[in-house]
Amino acid sequence: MPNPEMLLAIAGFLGFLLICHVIGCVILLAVRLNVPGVVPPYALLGCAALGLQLWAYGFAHIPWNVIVLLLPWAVASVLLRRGLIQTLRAQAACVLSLLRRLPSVDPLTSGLVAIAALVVIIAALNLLLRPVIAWDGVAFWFYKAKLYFVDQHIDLASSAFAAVPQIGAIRTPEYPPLYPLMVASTFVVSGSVNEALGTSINLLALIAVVPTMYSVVRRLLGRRLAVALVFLFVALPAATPFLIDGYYFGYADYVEACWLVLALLYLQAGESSGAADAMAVACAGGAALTKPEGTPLLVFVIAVLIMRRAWQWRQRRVFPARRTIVIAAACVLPVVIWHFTWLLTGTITPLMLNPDPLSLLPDLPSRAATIVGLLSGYPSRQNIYFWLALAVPLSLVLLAFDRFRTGRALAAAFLLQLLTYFAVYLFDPLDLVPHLQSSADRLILQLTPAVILLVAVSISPYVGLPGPEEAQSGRAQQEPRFTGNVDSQTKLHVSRPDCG
Amino acid sequence: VLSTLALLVVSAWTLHTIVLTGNTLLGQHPIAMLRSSPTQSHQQPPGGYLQAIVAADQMLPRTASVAVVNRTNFVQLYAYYWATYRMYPLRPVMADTTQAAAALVPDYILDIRDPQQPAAAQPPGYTTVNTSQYSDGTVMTVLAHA
Repeated sequence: MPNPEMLLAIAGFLGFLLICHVIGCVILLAVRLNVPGVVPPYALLGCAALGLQLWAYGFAHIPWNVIVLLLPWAVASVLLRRGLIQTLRAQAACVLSLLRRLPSVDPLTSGLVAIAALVVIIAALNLLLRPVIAWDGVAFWFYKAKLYFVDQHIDLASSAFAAVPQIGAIRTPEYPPLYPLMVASTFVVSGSVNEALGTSINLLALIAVVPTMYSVVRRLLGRRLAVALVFLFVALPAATPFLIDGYYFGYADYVEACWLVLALLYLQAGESSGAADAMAVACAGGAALTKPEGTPLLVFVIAVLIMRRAWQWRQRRVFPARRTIVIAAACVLPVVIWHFTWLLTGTITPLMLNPDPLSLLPDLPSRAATIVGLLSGYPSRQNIYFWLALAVPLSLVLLAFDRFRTGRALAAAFLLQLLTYFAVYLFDPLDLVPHLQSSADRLILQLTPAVILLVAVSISPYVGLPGPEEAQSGRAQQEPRFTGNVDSQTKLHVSRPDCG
Repeated sequence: VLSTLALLVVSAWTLHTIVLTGNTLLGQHPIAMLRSSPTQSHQQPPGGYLQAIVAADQMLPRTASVAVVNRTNFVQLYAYYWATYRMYPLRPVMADTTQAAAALVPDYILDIRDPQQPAAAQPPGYTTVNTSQYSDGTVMTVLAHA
């Protein structure tokens, strides 16, 4: 007989997932953003919106409670009810259609789906049961979540952020606030510090990414290969510490990995859709607000998008829609505000800021050798890294053979991000080897879902299906017109999911 | 050739992931987990020091000042992080001995020790209000300012 408390916890998670999903739908309906054929990560967007909402409430001294938090969304849902109901109905029909087709799919595909479902169930049980006891979870992420929830605002000048040099305690106040705010939103919805629901943010991110990844990859490779690659993402052995065994419960890296791959998914989808540009910036903004590693990603994504659009403008005088630019700018704004917030305190020295990077110049070759040496040992020590070591160069070679006709932007952003991690370690102000040993696996995890995407895109010219856009009009695309439903009365854009 | 190799890599990677995932899943006990209480498991994290701090958090008034003496095998830095996380909005400070803690004049001193460590010396001006022992033998003595 299941424990009633456990059933309640599962229901609580499903309820929170549903709330975040609906909020995500409302946001995309409100801004009329629809990338044809790509299912957005509604729940993750909704959860991030709740986090940002709490941050704004803190500025305005609005109390943090469930009514004040959800009331605006309830009002927005009522105002957008027509489009919202249509969207939710379409999604439900899509899920039902997929479920109905399950018995007819081949055994390999259904086997992968079944194992992935088991992984999700086991992850859910572990996330709900195991307490957060890992170092960074206790020291930074969940500590901040509790701090924000109890104080009902973010105050970087608070003595709770003070370092204690006698024992070497630091609080990394300059780290972005989104993950603790998302966790705090679970506390607000629960009305108390509900660690079980807080840790489940990782699962929420996973569940949100799956349909987005599947919808993009299926268009490239067809159903069977798409299922295999999405399975690789769901069952990622490197993610086990974040989802199952508890070693990294309470860490923000898994959510960061999800934002990162989402940004790259939309970057890839943006080859044929301008609306995807805004979503790519939104997801890169989510990454930048989750961990410091996201800030260079945001810069690279914006740079790649600007170069892509500048190229298109030169070729065909096609300029991105003003609305796309406004939405993208709005997504960058919280990142800028955050960096100003901690910079303006004048007292925070970033953990990873090397005050004298030039002093390391003579040591750079030996430091580079140390980094390469340690990382190259990963595949032989832990067999979960072998495929990454093989997949990255192979994917890049395949893209090069195809003359980067597809995946150019994706490969550029991925490589720049990879090089940034390398450069950060090169100029690392901390003790290099222990720092590498304690963090490299998490940085690799951040990039691993992106590697899966890179593999998908790189093999698509050889084994994939011609994309609908390519089949119709080649790769040269102008700013696409909205292709989903448009409600004639409210003029709301209703996302119709692609039920492949 | 390369595309065939890529397909082989994806297939082998998938198979290997199935094997690794199978190992992970076989090590799980979903029925036992379903029968467990999340609240209870969160109240009883592994390790006596961790459990002692959780218990102290429920015991102490929200406005008290607290000093923690950690005499367990948990490193001092982690002990500090755990105490400050679980007890917030209390702001515990760490001390090496109960005497050093008493010098800070907190409302409460939590002496948490491994069972083989000697019992806490009671500093002047403090009285023992509670002593509890946890599953691994860790002992917590709560001293209150008189």
